Amino acid sequence: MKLSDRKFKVVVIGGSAGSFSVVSKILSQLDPGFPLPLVLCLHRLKHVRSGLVEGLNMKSKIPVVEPYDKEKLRAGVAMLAPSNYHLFVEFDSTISLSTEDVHNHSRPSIDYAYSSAAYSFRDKTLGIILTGANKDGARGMKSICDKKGYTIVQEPASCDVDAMPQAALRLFEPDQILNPDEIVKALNSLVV
Amino acid sequence: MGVTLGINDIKAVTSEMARYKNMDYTGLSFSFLKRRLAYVFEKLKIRKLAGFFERLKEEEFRDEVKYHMAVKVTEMFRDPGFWRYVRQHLLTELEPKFKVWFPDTPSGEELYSFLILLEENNMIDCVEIVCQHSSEKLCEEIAQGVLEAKNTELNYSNYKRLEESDCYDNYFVEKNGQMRFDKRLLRNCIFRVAEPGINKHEDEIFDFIIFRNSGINYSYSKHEALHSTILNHLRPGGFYAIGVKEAVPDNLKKALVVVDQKESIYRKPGVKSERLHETI
Repeated sequence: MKLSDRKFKVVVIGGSAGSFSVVSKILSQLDPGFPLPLVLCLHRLKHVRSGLVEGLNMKSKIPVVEPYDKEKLRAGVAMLAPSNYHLFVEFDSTISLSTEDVHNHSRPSIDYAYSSAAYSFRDKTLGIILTGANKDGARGMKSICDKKGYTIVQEPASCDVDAMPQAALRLFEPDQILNPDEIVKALNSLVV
Repeated sequence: MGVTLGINDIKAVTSEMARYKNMDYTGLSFSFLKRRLAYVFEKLKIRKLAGFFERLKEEEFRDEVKYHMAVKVTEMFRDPGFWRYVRQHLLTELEPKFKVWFPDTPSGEELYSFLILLEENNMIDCVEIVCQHSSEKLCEEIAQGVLEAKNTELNYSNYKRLEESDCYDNYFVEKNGQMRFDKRLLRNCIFRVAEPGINKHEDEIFDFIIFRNSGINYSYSKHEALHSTILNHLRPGGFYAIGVKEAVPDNLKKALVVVDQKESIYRKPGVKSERLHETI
């Protein structure tokens, strides 16, 4: 089934080293009428709480916010995982945050964000893994794949650091392997 | 391979635990319980629910469970901006004598951070601090100054971000090859074994309550109820600090005034004077 024929409840994008520019590019070219909640889980410095969301908002075609705990997912709004908190997607379409221990040396952990979305929304989850320097996110993407969600891996050749996409590709076969321009097109194909 | 818990398993586990004193975890959110119970079962090498229920009859085992259910704060001076605000703005509002409550103390990091600020402002004997947790072992560890050694570098770098003193090493002593927080700074702290937020001293009132990042583990309704209960113990004009990404429940928004939105510091209205101690 084509991506545009699928029905999703959430899109989760994860990335680490080099992902800021890719996410910024995606957000700047996204259709302003993008119809789904978008969750961004990016590795970031734990003691720098401001700057990233403002930077992304400068070019983004949809609002980017850092959610508070128990905040509702909203269609057409990108929610960026706050620094030093894990982010989980819940059954009731809310976000929950946690200060539990780091996972893969990371908080927020991309694995946790993907896995929680897969657990809550199963095949209605679209996961996209971008450039990054460690394996965090690979297992979470596999969870989305296992629940029959849709998975897109950034083409390793287009990555600043390809360790994260490569780790994902070792674990499962994604629905698509795309460069950043193609990822934008894929997301915009979801706009009716 | 650990135990995988479904919804019914989690309900069975929490209702069984709730039969015992200080073990009511039924208000925690389902997703948190799923993760945390999996963690606890792995730590305690639990393979079957029946075995877990049987072992709950042992008091020592129950304390171990409570000990591992706690989400420890992994660094001192987490959110340096919060601590900087406390030092620069709140301490002067609180002197000369004040009482502080940590309604949930899952580890020593927040308490020790606060004590260092007090010490550096010559206020350590101005305060009485009540800390509590449901695990006796955990309370004992904190009272003994136990800290995670692996976080020393991070603790120090956060402390340095406060941009004032540089005498971090003065607050620690070595005991049996391990660094411990200097117990002399804990001289005005009281430790109680109790569930988070529950204060059996009904009339006890505090000037400052620090309850950061514990409420996020609860379901929405319990979260509201917990904050409401805790706020009953806050003096009018007193300060309330929660996690920087934790929102005040809707039903309490009118009961609090924002002091600093970014650091999630609030104040209970009801005092005409700006200086709290003038009304005491």
